[in-house]
Amino acid sequence: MVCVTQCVRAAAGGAGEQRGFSLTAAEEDASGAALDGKMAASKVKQDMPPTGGYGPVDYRRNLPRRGLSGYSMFGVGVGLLVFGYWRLFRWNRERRRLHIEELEARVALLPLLQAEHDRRTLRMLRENLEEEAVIMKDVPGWKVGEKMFHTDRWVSPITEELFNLRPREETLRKKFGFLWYV
Amino acid sequence: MKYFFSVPRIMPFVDLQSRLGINLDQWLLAQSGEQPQKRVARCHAFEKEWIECAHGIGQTRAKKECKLELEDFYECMHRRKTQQRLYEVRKQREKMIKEGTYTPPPHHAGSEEARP
Repeated sequence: MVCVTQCVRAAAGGAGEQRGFSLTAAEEDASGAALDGKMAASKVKQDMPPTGGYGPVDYRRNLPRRGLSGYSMFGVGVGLLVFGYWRLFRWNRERRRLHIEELEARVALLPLLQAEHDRRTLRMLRENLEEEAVIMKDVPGWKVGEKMFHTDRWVSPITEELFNLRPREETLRKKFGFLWYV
Repeated sequence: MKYFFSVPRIMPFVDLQSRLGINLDQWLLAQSGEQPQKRVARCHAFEKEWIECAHGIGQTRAKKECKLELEDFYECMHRRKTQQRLYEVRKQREKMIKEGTYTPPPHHAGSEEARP
């Protein structure tokens, strides 16, 4: 209560100073007295501390030393890493064995796949040759089945050569339908 | 890269990489060289023939004597003549189809399943 009146007086005095003059002593007393009278007249219910004051408050610092030390935490981390690496290396060895098995399967099947592919190529080349003979029979100076190379070696035909007389979408599907990498 | 490391314009006849026994860029100069995973290039044979024909005889002689090998190598790489030929056949075929003198057989009309 005392603080309230003192604060108000200080505020009033401060405000007075701001305005360029200060309250005279008589005016200060009058304002203080008026406030005291108002407070004493009505008993307002306020939230007050318990009688006898509050109990003791433990305000000391509480920073307990607990947990692992730095070295042991480091050791735990390194241990986890090593365990992870061990698992990884084991699994990589297993993956290598599986990959070798897949390669062996491919090696075993290669003759069959290569023979199929060769038969297909030769069939398409034969069909193209026959159609070319039919198509170009009226063109003067055209040699059917003429080789573009000076050598007698077998040169693998390119996709365009094989799919020349077929619809364009077949060529595109063969070239771009399955991509090994993008 | 050969010109970068070997600098024949400034130091001709000085095969620096062979002298020093290093292989900085010669490994990537020819398709017929050693490839990773032993995979062969498409025009390996033609390039090998051409290099064997043209090696060590000088550019002027090589241009005269190795014409056929070079032409084959070029054709293998770019297939210019093959594509020109295929184009002419296709054009004639389309002309005949428009005239109505030619109908493509079923295996060329996209209706048959591919079979080996």
